[in-house]
Formats: sequence, C-alpha cells, structure tokens
Amino acid sequence: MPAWATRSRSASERALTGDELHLLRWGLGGVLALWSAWGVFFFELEGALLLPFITVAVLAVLFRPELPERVPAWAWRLVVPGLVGFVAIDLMRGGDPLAALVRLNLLLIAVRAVGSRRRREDLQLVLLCLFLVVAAGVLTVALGFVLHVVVFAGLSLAYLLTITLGAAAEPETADATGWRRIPWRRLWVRVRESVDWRVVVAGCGLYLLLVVGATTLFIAMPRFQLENSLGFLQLKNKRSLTGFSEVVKLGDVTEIAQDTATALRVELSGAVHAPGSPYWRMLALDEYRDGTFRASRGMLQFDRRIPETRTFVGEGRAAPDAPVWTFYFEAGISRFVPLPGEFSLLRLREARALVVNRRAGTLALREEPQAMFAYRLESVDEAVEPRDPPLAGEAWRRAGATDAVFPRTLLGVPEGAANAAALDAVLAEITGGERLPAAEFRRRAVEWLGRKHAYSLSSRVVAGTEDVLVRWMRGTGPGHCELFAGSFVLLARRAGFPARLVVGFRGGAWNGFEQYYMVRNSDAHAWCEILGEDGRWLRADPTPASRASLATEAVAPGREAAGDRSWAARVDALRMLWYRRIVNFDRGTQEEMTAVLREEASRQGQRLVAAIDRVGRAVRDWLLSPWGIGRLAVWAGVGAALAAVAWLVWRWRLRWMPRLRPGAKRDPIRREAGRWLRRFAQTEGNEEGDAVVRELQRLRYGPVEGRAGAPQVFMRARRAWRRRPRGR
Amino acid sequence: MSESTAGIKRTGSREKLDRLRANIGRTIKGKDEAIEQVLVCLLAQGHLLLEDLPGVGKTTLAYSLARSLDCAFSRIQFTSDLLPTDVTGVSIYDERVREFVFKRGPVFANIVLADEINRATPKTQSALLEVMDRGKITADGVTHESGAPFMVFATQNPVDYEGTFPLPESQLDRFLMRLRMGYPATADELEILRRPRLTYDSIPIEPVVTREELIGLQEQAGRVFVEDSVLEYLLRIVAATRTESEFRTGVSVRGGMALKQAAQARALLCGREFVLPGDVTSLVVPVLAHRLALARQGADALEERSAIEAILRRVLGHLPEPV
Repeated sequence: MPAWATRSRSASERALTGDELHLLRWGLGGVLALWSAWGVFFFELEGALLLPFITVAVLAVLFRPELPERVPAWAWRLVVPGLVGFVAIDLMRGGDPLAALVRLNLLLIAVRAVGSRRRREDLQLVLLCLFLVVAAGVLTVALGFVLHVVVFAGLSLAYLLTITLGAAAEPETADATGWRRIPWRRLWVRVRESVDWRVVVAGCGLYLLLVVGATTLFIAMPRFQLENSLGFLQLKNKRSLTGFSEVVKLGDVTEIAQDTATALRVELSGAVHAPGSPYWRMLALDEYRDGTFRASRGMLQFDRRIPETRTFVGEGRAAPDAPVWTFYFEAGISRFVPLPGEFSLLRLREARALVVNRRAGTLALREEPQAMFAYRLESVDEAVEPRDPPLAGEAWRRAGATDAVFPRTLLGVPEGAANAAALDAVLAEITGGERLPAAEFRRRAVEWLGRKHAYSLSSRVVAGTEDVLVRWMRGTGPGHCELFAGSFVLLARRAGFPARLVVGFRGGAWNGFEQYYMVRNSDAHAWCEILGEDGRWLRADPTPASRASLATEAVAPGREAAGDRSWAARVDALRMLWYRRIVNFDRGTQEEMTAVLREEASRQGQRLVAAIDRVGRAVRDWLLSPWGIGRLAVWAGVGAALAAVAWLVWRWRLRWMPRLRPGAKRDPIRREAGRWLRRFAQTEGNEEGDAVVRELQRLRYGPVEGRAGAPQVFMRARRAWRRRPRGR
Repeated sequence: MSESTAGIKRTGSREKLDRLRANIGRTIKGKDEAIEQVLVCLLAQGHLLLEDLPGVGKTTLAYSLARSLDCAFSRIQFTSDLLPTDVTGVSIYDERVREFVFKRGPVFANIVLADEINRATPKTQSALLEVMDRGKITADGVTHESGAPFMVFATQNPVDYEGTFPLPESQLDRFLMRLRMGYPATADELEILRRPRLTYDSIPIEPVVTREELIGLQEQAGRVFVEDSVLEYLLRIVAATRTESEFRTGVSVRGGMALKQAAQARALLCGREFVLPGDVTSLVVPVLAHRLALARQGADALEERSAIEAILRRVLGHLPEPV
C-alpha cells in the first residue's frame, strides 16, 4: 500500500512523490491509448466492436487499476497466441492487409494499456499509438487529424516527461499492482499544487516550439507526393462515397443525392463572375437499355489516354482576366472530373494519367483518386455549350436508329411497337406533328414533362410491359431527376434529335466564411443534352424547379450575407482552409508564400529604415535649431524632473512594492535578499561578505518592520560580491 | 518599541547570555555545543533530558547552570522506592494549627535536577507530568504554582537497564530536547584532570543572571520573528516524519511547536531577532529524535536512537532550506 493511502500529507509538501508520479503515468498512458484508438474513426474498418471494447477496458483500468491483477496468469499467457490467431484469421478472411494491421495495432494498444507497465512497456505504448495516429493522419488528410495530432503530441510529451520523472523518483516502483482505486480528484489537486508555473510556461513554450518547428519544416521541406511513394496509403477514407460510373441505372443518382456530405469545393478567383446555379458536368451517357444508361462501347472508343501530366489544354479560349476555378474533389466520388464548362487550361496539383473523350466532352482520371484531389481550370466559360460538328451531318442517321454503334446510340429508343406507339403519342402532344428546331423542341418537351409530372425522390410508375421510362410518361406520377431526364432523352431521340443523359452536380451553396462553392452529394443531378442543328449540344434540364428546393439552393457569390452561414458551413470552411493552406500547399504555393514573406519583410524593413531616418532627421533639426536660454532651461527642467521621478521610484520601490503585492513569495525584498544569499552561499567567506550576509539574512528572514535601508544593503552586497575571494 | 530601543535590548540580552555561557564553560570544558543547547532549552522554557553514560558531566552541567542563575535549585535522586509525594510534596497534619498543611516537595524550585529519572517507577515519573506541562502541582484538590522560571533537568543512563523503567512517550514528549554529552576531547579531559577534585557544592561559580533577567530573556525569545517560509520549512520537516515509513508515528503538534520555540531561542542566543532556517535544521535531532520511534524495533536503545537520528538527517537532506 503506498504511503499516501495510509498517511495524511501536509499541503505544504509540494513535490509529487514517486507513487503519485506513477499514478499520473498510469492515467496519462490510458488517456493516450484512448485518444489514439479513437483515431480509427478516420478509417473505414471492419472493427466496430474493437473500439467499444478498448474504450471500456481502458476506462475500467483507469478507475480500477487492480482489475488486471484479477485476471489469472494463464489468461495473460494466452494473450500473445490469441493475437497471433486473431491476425491469422483476419488475414485469411482475405480482407485488406493494412486494415488487418490497424486492427492488430488496436489490440496491441489495448493489451499495453490495460496490463501493468514498466518503462519499456510505456515506450512501446507510445510507439504503438504513434503508428496509429500517423497512419490515420496520412491516409485521410482529414481536418480532424490536425486536432488529433496536436492533442496527441501534447499528451505524449506529458506522458514521456512523467515516465522520466517517475523513473528518476522511484525506479523500483513501476506498476499498478497494489493500487486499489486511484483518487483522481486528489491527484489533480496534488498536480496543481506541485506544478510550478515556470515549468508550465516552459512546457508550453517547448510545445509551441515543437508546433512552430513542425510548421516551419512543413513550409521549408521539398514537396513530394507521399501517397504515391507509400503503397499502404491506399486505405479508404470512411466518408468515401462511390457513384457516377459509366453505367447509371435509373435511381442511382437519386441514391447519391440522399447523402449530404460535401463532394466538391470550388474556389473562384473572381467570385463576382461566377454563375448562380452552375452545372458540374461529369459524364455523358449515350446508350439506353432497360432502365440503364451507359457509355456505349462505340463512344468509349473515342477515349484518348494521356500519360501522366500536370496540365491539359482545353478547347476554350484563353482570357487573361477570366477567373480561375480551383476544385477540391473528395476521394471516392468518381474518377470523372466535374467541369462547369469549356476551359482553356487544366492544371493538376500532381501529375495524373488522364482519359479524355472529346465526343462525350468528359475528362477522367485513369484511376479513381484515393485522397482529396485538386485541380484548377483557367478561362472557364460555363455559358458555352459543348460542340461536336461531325455529328451535325445527317448521313449517319440513315443507318438505323437501333444500331448500337456510336453515334447511332444517340438515337436509340426502347424496341417494340408498344414503346414506339406510346412515345409517338406523347410526341404528338408536344409537337403537334410539326418538325421543330432543336431549341423549340427542348422548350416544349421540358414544358410538357413539367406539366404532367411533379418532382419527387420517390417515383410512381404505372404497370405495363413497356419500358420503364415509357410507362412513367404514360402515367402522371411524380419522379426524380433521372426519370425526367431519361424521358426527355427518349422523346428527343424519337423526334429525331440525338440526345444523351448527363450526370454530375447542379448548384451548390456559397460558403460565406471562406468564399467558395460547397457542392454536396445531395446536389447530384441528371439532365440531358440535345444536339442542335449547328452541332452544339444544348443543355436541357427537364426536372421541374421544385427539384432545386430539395437540394442546396445555389446562391450567387458576392452576396456572402445570403450564403450558407450554418455551423455545418463553418466546419466545412475549416476543412476548406485545411485543403487550401495545408494539403494543397505545393511547391508553387511554397514559393509564392516565401516570396510574399520576403516581400513583406523587405517592405517592413524599408519602413523601419525610413522611420529611423525620419526620427534622426527630426532630432538633428531639433538639435540644430537655435538654443536660447529659455529653451535650455525648459529642457534642463524636464530632464531634472524625469531624473527625480526615476530616482524616487528606484529609491522607494522596495518600500511600496511589498504593499502592492503582499506575501513572502512575491515580496521583492525577500526575493532579492534570497537571490543574493544563494550567490554568497557558493563563495568562500570573508569579513565583508559575512557582514553583508548577516544583513541579507535580516532582510530575507527578518520582520518587515526592521528592514529599512534595504537598497543600501543590496548595494553593499553588490560591492562585496565584486570583491569576493575567487578560487584559483 | 522603536528600532534603537530594540537594538539596545538585543545587545543587553546578548551580553547576559554570553556571560552565562562563559560562566558554565568555565566548569564544563569542551562542551560548547551541549552548553548552547542547554541554554536554548532554558530560553525556550523547555525541559531537558540529558542522556548519557555515568560520569561524563551531566550532573555537573546541571549544577553549573543552576548556580549560574540566581534561582532556586533542587536535586531529586530518583530511585525505585521514590514516591510521588517525595517529588511533589505532601499534606501533613499540623497539631499547632489543627489542620493539614501542604509541605512542598523538591519540585518547587526553579531548576530541578531529576537525576537518573528512569530509576523511579512510572507512577513517580508521572508525578512530574503536570508540573512539567503547566508549571503547577495539584495536591488534595489545591493547585500550587511551581517556581518561575521552571526547568526540569533530567538525566538518565541509556545503557544500564537493570531495575529501570523507560520513560513513557507522553513523558518524553514533554521534554523539549534530549541531549547527549559524549566524552570530552583529549585536551579538555587533560585540563579536567589537572584541576583539583571538587564536590558539586564547592564548584567556584557565581550567579551571573538574575531570576528576573532570565524571565525577560525567555519572554524575548518568544517574540523572535519567524518568517513564513521558515515556518513552512519547519512544517515540511514535521510532515516528512509523518510520511516516513521507517517511523512508527510522526512528530506530534507539540513537537512542531517545540521545534519553533527552540529555533526562536537559538536565534536569540545568536543575537538575532529572527529565525534562520539553519536554526531549525540544527535543532531537528535534539528536539525531535526522542519523540520518534522506529517501525521496526532496534537491537538496543542506543542503536535505535542512532538509527532514528540517521533517518532524520536523511529526511533533512531531502528538504532544501528556503532561501
């Protein structure tokens, strides 16, 4: 039983005992283990049961440290074989080896945190926790990682310090055996009593130095792509959502739209030029069959593979003053890049292999990015519609609409007389039997669909044998955006206009805190494009306006007050800040920041020099101006008054300061006398020194009333100190 | 009191104490430290337990002190058949006045030498408890004041245990200090041998301090200033004895107060009106050691006392003096 448990302790005994240090070490180890283990929230791991188990186990031993003692010795001996078995089974299940490794790490942390620990086990615990935290941070590049790693650094520093102090205090006592219950409140009081504010300040300074040093290293170190260098960085972020592939079933987009997580953040260099409700185009799908739109094999033949590059030239015209759009695309959404319109140049944060399809007007990465992906578009013109002049000719249409080879897939409608009859009936309502221009047909078809159907996430389709889109058009039930867009595509094709389904995002919320577009998964949308007579693809969005109210309402930038200012937007703004300043901090940004810093330092230096010069000139002018008797007298008087005040303050400081701040520890005379006594204690005695020491003792330990002449004593002490005998 | 008056008073007390010290030193050779601690005990109004082998000058020291002061002195030789009334006094029937009259015992003096105190039975030893604590004796329901100043100067032999009764803890706690004389240095012993052999009563020593002067000095010692950090240091020492696992129990509150009084007295003896941490440190062993007991019994009393003193010095080594 430790001494504190049986004996009362005086509050004046301030230093923590060895037992108290070990209690503190035990507590800090548990907290560190918990904090690190909770880092797995960043992963998508099949370890849902592990975390509650670890949390409960560690909390239990934090408050009842004797519990591990109750576990029989044979059970402890089974831990290692058990862990080996667990890993073997985990790996045999065929899962991700990295995920298995993380699970093993979690279990090891749990074993170390609940078992008795000596110095070696303490250090092992720190290393295990470090591995988990680093893995979580590097894999996810999440905003939460900043907080996680900052707290982890502080905790581990405190833990290591306590381990060292504990080992120095009582090297023999090192585990929790014998502790029945840790009095945390009492321990906290003792820690507060014993910790000197100077130690706290020094600790905080050290920690700050660590953070500043790490930040400086981050700014100064050469850039490289960590995720490309280390293979294990391919673990998925838990928040990853998949969708938007080359095959889209009716309802797929709507399913994505159920999620409110942010998918895309777009920063505009000249926000005032941005559109109020942009379309973020990702995929164009030409082939339709049985309720599924897909990119036809024929269209995929137009895919052009581009080896790893950091730039790609678009079809738009370069305009020097045009805004630059910077995109931060969350991982796992799609490999297809959202594009708001034509652009002159695309810049990637890191070199990527691309796949471009000019017929579809899409741009994709060869592989789906596993971490946040950033790119920039220059000279974006969102008003310009994609062009495809070769399709404007009529020759290819005569080959038959049902041929599944591009571009004839652009005219493909469901086979069967019933489908054709139904579509013709609808077309008759829309066109009245006329041959309309594409733009006019678009207007009337959109109007007809909007009139007959309402928007809803849950659709209602009538029964029948026809195609699902045809059946929906026959009925009057509500539908989602894919039904509207798909129906429009079929009607346009039946009317002889090549048409295709386009998916991506529409709109987005303007974040007024960090000035950018937040596009959420709930903004996922499907619309269509119909080929005009001049070879331009006209955008047609038949989904009624009610659609917009269900998704995030787009707000024109520049009107920050009307933007999204919710708490969710605040958090998202932090994430954007993280992306802008940390993740996207590439060599260019590094150089830019260095240049800015250099420029600012230079400017401030020049200002300082100018200010000194100005003051110097003023002083010189003042000195050179004529000195009359009156002026001399005034300045002499001012100087004398200042000197007198300074002398008085100095002379009486030791008398009034103790009254302002009473108490022995803060009493400046006692403190000063103690300082001198400490110095004289290290010297050899002599007559003068001994006399001064006696007087200093009177000031340090004597009553307040009898210490007149303290400044003189200190002066004598200074003199005696200078004359002290020095060792040879 | 003005500063100059206080200074004059301090100077006067220093002279008296120096006179007293020199007077005792003429008889007791080479025992300056023991003399200083006896004077500390006297100024702190405490009682002294002098513990050593026979023939090292314990009784002579007590005689010298008593004769240097213009105070009443009595000696009680403690034996196993000594009765409490032999110490405190007894009520006897006076035929002339036809009533019981209290006949004062030897304890009614200013300096009482209780020689070989552990030879008396516990009952007789405890007869001293009240007078040592309060300076009063209650007999037949009547309380009698002892002399002022009052100091019990007890001696005992720590080695010879035959027919002795060790002092109980409550009795030990009432002694301010426990001292050991030790053998004198060779040169001092040579000088002692050169002198003619004298009985206690024929020691040529004159009183140098009057009774009133002694009371004034004792009052002055009680007014010596103790700064807070020194008090905290003292308290840390006391607390450390309570948490030290090698001690059965720690020092009592009375022990802490005794250490403070002794430190004040030592400061006055050194001519200061404030206590230094060094005063406390130098008095820890004589003031606290006899109030402590080892958790594990030692082989004999001497070994146990040495062990306690060693532990106390170790504890002191871990507690830095406030500067």
